[in-house]
Amino acid sequence: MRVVSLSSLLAVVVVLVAIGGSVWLNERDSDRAVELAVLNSDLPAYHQISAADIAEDRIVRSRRDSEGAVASPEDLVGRYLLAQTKAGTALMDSGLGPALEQGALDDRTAVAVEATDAMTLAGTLTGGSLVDVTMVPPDGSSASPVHLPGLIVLNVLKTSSNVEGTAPHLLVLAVPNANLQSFTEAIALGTLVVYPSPTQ
Amino acid sequence: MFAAILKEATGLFDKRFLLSSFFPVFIFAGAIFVIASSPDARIERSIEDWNASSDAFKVVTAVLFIAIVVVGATVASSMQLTILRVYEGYWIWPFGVFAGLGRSIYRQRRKSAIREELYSLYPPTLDIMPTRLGNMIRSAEAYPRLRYGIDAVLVWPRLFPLVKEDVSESLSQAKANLDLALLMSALSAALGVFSAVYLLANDAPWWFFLTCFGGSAVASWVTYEWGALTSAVSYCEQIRVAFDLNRNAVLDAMNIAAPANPREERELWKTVAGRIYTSGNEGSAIWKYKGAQPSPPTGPQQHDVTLRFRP
Repeated sequence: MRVVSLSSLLAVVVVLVAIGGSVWLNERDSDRAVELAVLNSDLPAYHQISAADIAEDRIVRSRRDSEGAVASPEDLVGRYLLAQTKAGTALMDSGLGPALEQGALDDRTAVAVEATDAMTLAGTLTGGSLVDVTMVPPDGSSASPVHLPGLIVLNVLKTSSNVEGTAPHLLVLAVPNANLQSFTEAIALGTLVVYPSPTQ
Repeated sequence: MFAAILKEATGLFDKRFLLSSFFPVFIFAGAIFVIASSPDARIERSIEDWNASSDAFKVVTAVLFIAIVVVGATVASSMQLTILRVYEGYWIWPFGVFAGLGRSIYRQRRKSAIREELYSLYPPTLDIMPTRLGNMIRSAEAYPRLRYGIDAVLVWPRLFPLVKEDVSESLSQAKANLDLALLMSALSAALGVFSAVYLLANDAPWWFFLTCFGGSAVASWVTYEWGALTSAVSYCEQIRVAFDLNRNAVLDAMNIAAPANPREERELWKTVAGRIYTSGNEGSAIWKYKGAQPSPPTGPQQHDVTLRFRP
């Protein structure tokens, strides 16, 4: 009869620890599953979430899979999407802008403009900032400067382009629809000057 | 000055040190670093954090890491004998219980061993060790005593300088392979223990825990089973061969005449050991210097007796 060796006993202990540890970790993760609020329909980027956008049914995810997700519907209302989002998917905190006053984005359109470091106020501008913008026409132009107060900064993105002369940032602004045409015309001709809104 | 520093550095990082200590510790420390920095298995996030950190932080971290590896490799290099003894089965409390259990297991196994196994895998029953490696090495250590009555511990330092250069290189290489395999096995086992404790304490994903712990355990087993034991077979056989072929060279170097038969040889080596240990046995008849003339008998004085016939 072959006698069991110490290495066999050790192997049994290792296998037991491996299986036991894995099961324990899995159970521990499942025990702390969380319910996450989701959208009831596909929504575009920079849409402000209202209570009507949130589905009645929630999805259940393990603690690990839900890390970084927003669980509560109350925490979603008033925030806006930074990217197009499908219905029924977990909403990650990193994919949402800050909460704004309800209706703050109504009758506004998201417009992206190339921005220098100076236009982002040396990186201090973030989503939700309120700014005033003045479009200064080029020298010799007969046009007068266009001033637009109270624009909402939706996002500040870094561009990946290393081409010389390309702006290092993209500034996404929520422009009132009433001023959209003058804004786009002026921006095509002149220089954009951004400064914090005194009303902020 | 720089040349002197460079020479010191290259002396410190010689090929054997790099292969047998530095790289194993480097891999071990790297694995510890990865597990410790990403217990949630999100290694890509750790890489992003690393890329986003400042150059000064990266340089300081890299220098610290290399310094830790060098110190660790130096410590590991000096602990090779300790590691070997642990794998041989020289265990202290509280593992002494397991040593007793292991010995009884191998004593049982020895009873059913065939001749070739008794030759290479098992020492005499009283010398049995609790591990396979321990028994292989103990078997090689016991071989010269059982065959020739040679005290291996005493004679080996006198025998090793006399073996041919290629044989001594081969022996050194076999020992280096054995040490490397044991170090890798020990480091893998340590990594397994670390990853088990650290990942369980940090609520790691189960699959990450299983990968790290199971992978370390398998690596430790493979390096022991296929690395250390294979190297030990070669190492132990070369020790036996060295005693078989060079024992008379030791006698020759010590200016002692070779024995005439196995019984005399046993007696001679016993005498040699006694002489070396205690400087006794000077009057032993078995100890003869090479090429010496037989000394005249030292009995009562002989008188010249001439027989004369009477006329």
